[in-house]
Amino acid sequence: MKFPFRFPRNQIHLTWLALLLSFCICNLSESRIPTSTELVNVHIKAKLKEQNLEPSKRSSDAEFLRRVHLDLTGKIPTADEVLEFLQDRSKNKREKKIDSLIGSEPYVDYWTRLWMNWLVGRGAISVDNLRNWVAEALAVNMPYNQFVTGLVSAEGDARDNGAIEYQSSSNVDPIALTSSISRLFLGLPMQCAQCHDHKTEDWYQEDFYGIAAFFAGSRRVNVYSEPEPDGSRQEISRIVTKTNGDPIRIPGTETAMSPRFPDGTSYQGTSDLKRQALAEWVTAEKNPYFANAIVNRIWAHFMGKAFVEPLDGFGDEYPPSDPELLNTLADFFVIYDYDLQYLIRIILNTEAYQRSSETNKSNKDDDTYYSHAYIKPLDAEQFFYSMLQATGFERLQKRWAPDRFEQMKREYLERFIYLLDNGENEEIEAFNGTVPQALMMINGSMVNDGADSKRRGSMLGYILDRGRTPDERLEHIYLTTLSRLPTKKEKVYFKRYLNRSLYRNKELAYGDFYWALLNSAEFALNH
Amino acid sequence: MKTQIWVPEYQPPDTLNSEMSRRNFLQFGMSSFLGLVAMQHLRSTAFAQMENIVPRAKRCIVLFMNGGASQLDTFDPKPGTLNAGPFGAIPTTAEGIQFSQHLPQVAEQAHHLAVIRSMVSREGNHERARYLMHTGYAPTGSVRHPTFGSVASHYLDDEDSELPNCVNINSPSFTAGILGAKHDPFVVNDPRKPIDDLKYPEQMDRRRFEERLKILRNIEKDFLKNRSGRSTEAHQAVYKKADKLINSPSAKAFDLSDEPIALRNAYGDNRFGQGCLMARRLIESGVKFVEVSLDGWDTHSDNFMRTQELLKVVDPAFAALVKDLDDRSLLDETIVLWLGEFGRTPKINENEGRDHFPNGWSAVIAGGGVRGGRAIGATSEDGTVVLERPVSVPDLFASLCFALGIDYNNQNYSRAGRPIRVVNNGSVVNELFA
Repeated sequence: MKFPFRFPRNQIHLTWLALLLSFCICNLSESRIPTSTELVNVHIKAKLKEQNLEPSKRSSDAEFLRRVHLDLTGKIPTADEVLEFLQDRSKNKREKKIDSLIGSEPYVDYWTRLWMNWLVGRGAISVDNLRNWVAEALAVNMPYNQFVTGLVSAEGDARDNGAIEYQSSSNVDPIALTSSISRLFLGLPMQCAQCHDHKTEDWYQEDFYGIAAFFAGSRRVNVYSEPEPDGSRQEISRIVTKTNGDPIRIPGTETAMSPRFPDGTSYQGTSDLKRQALAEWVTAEKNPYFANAIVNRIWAHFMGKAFVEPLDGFGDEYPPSDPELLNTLADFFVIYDYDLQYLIRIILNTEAYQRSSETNKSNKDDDTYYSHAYIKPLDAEQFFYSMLQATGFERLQKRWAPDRFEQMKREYLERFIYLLDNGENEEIEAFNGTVPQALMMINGSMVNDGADSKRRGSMLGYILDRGRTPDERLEHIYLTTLSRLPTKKEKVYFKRYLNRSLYRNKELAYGDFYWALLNSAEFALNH
Repeated sequence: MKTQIWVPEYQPPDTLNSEMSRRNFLQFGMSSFLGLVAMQHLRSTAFAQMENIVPRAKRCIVLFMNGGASQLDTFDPKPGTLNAGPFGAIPTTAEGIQFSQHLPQVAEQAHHLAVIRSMVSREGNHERARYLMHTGYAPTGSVRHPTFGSVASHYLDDEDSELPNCVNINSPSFTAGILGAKHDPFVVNDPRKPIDDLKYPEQMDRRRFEERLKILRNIEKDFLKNRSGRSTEAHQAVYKKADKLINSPSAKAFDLSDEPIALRNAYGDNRFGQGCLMARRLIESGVKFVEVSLDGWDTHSDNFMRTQELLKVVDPAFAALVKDLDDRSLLDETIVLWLGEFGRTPKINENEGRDHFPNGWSAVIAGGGVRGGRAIGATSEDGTVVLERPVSVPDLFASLCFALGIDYNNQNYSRAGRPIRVVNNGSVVNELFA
């Protein structure tokens, strides 16, 4: 058997069920913390002990809030949101915050962007229907196995089923789709097998083209909508599948492949149902890669370090850093019906996620055992949205035509994100800590306008108008930029700074200070 | 100052009076002495032919054919064979060496070029091969190997230079990885456009900027103190570099409008041609490493139409660069390397295309002390196997290091403290120099 079902997910381990049950019984109280979270805590704690690592202390409320906002909604919280959270005296406010953000509108927006990048890449065109479909799926928390089934087996035209654009955006190219499905949904670097048998893993060209054959004979056609009142017609993609799909030939050989699953069994059914069958195989409960790949990806997003790196590196070459924890989380994910929001809830409530990013002597070099929160640089897009909010231009932008905003965003992102010319939707981000970024921060209009209180709509102008004393203003400035209150030391420093400033116009002194906060590492990092 | 230990194999004692080696000798005292002992020992052995070779290159330009260029349709033509396709071959200024008919201008410079026709690697996937081709290492999960431009930046660093040491034109590359963000390539998106945000906005001047930087230093000190792997210094260093660039007269190197129209046209009025011209301006101004890339080589279908279009861009640009450097007496100190992440299959597929082929492909080197006018290695009649002198990617990297006077056995350390050699398992391709 070639497909390495080495650890088939035949049964969920009984011990876990027993443990889970006992935790459930102990936890019949009101707590919103998923019981599985406790198991993760216990596991990580034991690992840390084994490694003699002293975990960092719990994050402060402000540190937690900023992190959870960036991870769930892609931007920092507003000053009001921070203040409200800091003033909340209830004991379970972190759980409540997590619950209220998961599934919220900003959450759906942000995760739709993430998923679109993963599915078709940032450069894809004619994928609006897919975007709506993904947003809808995230909003109703569609189980992940249904989500993937929907994408892989989609039929019909894009108006009725946006999911088909996952396939039509590549013109139903069997090679591109096979590569995407294996990497994204299974975490397998099977695209290497496109040209040759994999060097270190059990992948053969026949496996790759066996999957590709499921898409052979399907193609995209464009149909036109009924005329609109103004007479125009819309172009709509539709996928049609020939009843007898052509087999696909392995380049450079005479071997023709019919649809075949990587475990070696051939597909016997009719052409019209073959992609449905592939979807069932990919999402099957006994396929160990399916749940593990998504758990690994989601875990990496929040924790800053995946179990298996690269994310599509499952196999012997890159063994997981903690296979037991990965498998356990995947088991929970399956038990809870492929519920992504539940998985996220488990992770966000763990002690590991909520630790401070400040290190101590024993754990400063750890980058494997989650002894402290790992620092994640804001990516170009998180930075853009956070900056818009902190400078106040977000409010202005709401009054703009959407085109103008999209144009501005595109121009900004193009400077830092590069699509790779290799048909894999891959991109390189050259952003954090680079000279071009520093140039943008030093001289760019977004930052400088933001530090200019005279600009129409500038947040700084608003803060200066509203605050009566320098202290009040400083607090508001810190809440807006760094999502926390200033420390005593920082207040003293600021007072001295303001008094010594040679500007006759103190607004300029505020401007310089605001600029410095927007430029600080604390702003540019998710910590 | 970085520790540099000389490569014993290629540095016999009687070349120590050259400036390069004297500097190294003074720097490393004891270790060089040990090196000497080793050299004495090796001198009489197989390395005798390399005896008088002294590294001459001071900087490097890489022309990267993103997607993988077809060797059969460029520098390793097989005219008259089944796999040749429609392109013919033409003679060059190097005796007995032919190039594709679509490289007439480069053929005129062939006496400067050494063509390695026997490149071999195991990576046939773009991403992995690109990584290998830029770092000398196959990708591994944890370590981020530095891209070669960053290695050059690290070892040839000119602290006083106002320009970045390492520049990528038309596309970003990999990062400096374990060598630190300080050596990350500076990316120029489009050489025909001005660099974004290179000038202070209204209301700003250097004094005000310094004032702002002072505040920044103060407010982030406490935050960075206990965050591992991040330092105030590193953050400030990037800002200082940016500031130096803003205020530097050398920044004019990024502005091509000073160049005579005739020369600009000779390079080709397109992103790649102008990138090559910018590369020359940059190395003239002290930049150590420039990579110029050209996209579009992933020719799984319509290989010949597409390659012909691409060669219309490559031919004038590559030829003009070599000639221009030579005219300015810069070629001897500048190593120029042309290659992609792999080659393409000799066999033509059913879509008139060629697929990925890491088993035997070509790279071209000029300048920097490399002996031109020769071909190294050879592939079989049908192009499918390397018959002579296989050259691995680490061998190529070792040769670049040798030419630039960088000891490729130097080690740098990953965050977890693992030592990483500049080049692993590679040895210098002597035929390039001797």
